[in-house]
Amino acid sequence: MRVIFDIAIFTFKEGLRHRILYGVIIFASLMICLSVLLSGMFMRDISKILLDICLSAVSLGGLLIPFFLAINLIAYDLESRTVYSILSLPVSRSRYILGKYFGLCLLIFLIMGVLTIATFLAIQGGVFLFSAYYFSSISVTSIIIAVAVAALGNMVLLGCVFFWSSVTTSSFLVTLLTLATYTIGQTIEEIVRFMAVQTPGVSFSPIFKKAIEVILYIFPNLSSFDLKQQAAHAQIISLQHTGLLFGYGLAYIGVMLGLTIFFFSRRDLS
Amino acid sequence: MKRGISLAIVVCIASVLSWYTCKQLFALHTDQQSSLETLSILPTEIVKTASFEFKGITSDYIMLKTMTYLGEHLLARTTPNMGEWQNVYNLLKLVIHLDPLFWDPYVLVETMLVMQAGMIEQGNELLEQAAKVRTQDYRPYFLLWYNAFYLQGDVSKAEQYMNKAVRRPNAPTYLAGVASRMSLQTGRLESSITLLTQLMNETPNTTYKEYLQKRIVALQMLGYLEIGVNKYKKKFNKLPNDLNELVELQLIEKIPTDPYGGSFFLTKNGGVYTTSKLLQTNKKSAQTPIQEEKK
Repeated sequence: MRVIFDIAIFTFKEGLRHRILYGVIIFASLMICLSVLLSGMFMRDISKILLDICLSAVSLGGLLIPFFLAINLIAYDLESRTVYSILSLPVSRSRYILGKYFGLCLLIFLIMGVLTIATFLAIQGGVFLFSAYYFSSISVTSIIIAVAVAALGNMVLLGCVFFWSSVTTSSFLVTLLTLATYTIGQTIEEIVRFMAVQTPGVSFSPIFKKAIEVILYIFPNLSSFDLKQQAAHAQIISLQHTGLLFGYGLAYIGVMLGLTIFFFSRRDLS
Repeated sequence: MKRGISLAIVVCIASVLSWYTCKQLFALHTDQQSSLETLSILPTEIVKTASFEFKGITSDYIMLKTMTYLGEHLLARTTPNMGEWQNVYNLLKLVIHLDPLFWDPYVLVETMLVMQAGMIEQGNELLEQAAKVRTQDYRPYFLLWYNAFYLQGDVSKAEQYMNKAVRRPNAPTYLAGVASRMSLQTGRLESSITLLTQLMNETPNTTYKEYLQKRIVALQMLGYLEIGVNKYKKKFNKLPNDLNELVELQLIEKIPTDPYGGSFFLTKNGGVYTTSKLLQTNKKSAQTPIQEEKK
């Protein structure tokens, strides 16, 4: 356990060395200004617009880790042979994978945490510029749940990055496969629902329909981790809904990390 | 040194060129802005799917684009033609499809599509949708009531919408009054009293209860006087000259005192109304929803 923690902290510090924190702070400052200014252009739903922009920025910030930092760090470990120096110590490959994963998760929490604080600052800016009346219906609980669930969605995608990195050595291929996973994950539910509706003039073969349904269960349903609209409209997100999302997310991460450890343990690193 | 000066000159020229081309591009886009056709023909399902997890912000962008387009028309004092209105309708429908809870597009539907373009049917369709998703909001039914009552002249439908609006949790107190006044004009006094009594029984708010009680009493008085007028009409086959005649002929005991401080009078068509118009003397409650919203 101690080893996993040490590798996680090492990965976290390694991530910080990429100066992502500076980038995130600049991004957060721009986001505050832009959201406050843009929301004033609308008629009534000022808080909704502000939260739409800020929460999208929070999600986007979180996505930077699986898409850029994670792929680069894993590829760097293998290419620069850092992985050998770690694995030559009494550290199992599974612990190395878990430590690396949790370290990157910490970076996701840090980035999304900073941007969430910026969101609350933007709300204060909005209250100051416009009026508290437009922000009276904001639900802090819904915002926090939406961010937590979005972070979980990013952790699921990070699990997929680890899985793809364990089956291929090319970082370019990992990027492509992660992009495909993200695209499928974000759209598959809409596609399944669209196909379920009998649209006049549009028909699908039963095999195609079945294949799409199978994809829904194989790839992560990332769109379900998007609760931004509910948060923007201060809707109550039920405990059951949140629990189900956490259950699904953690189970999927478990599967991905399990498969990653399985493939990585059998990988010839020599 | 020379290299530095050359570099500065290159940067200056590039900056000027960048500024100029940006200005030209802006002008070019301004011309293209006048047509929303390209955006409006995009299938809603495709846009929704392609928006990934950024549906909210996509809806905001399309809404801003639509508002800018209509704003340009307002500034130029021009009116879009029917084809352009159809594009606006398609875009607002797209915004609503992306974020059904977003209130701003519904406001634009009412103020632009319904009131300016006369697309009442299409507008009502979207407002009905708003009423379904915005379950805590009285405003969609209030706008539907307005359309049915004032624009379509369908009093019975208007009454249904108003009854639904006043039942919404955030409905302001004056709405019940509007509902009852509207019902009064259609001769449906009894249904107004029933509605108000029901609302009074549902609310825990004592101030609101008092407000409703006062209105019920006033309506009961109007009903009492109308019964007297009907008796007179049956007896003499004509309308009385004024309400005092009813007392003189002992058709009613006395003319009651209006709780709102007005005086009851006989209208030209034989109905009974009051000079107070059943309005609260409290200014706040007599405000329109838009006034209250602005506040």
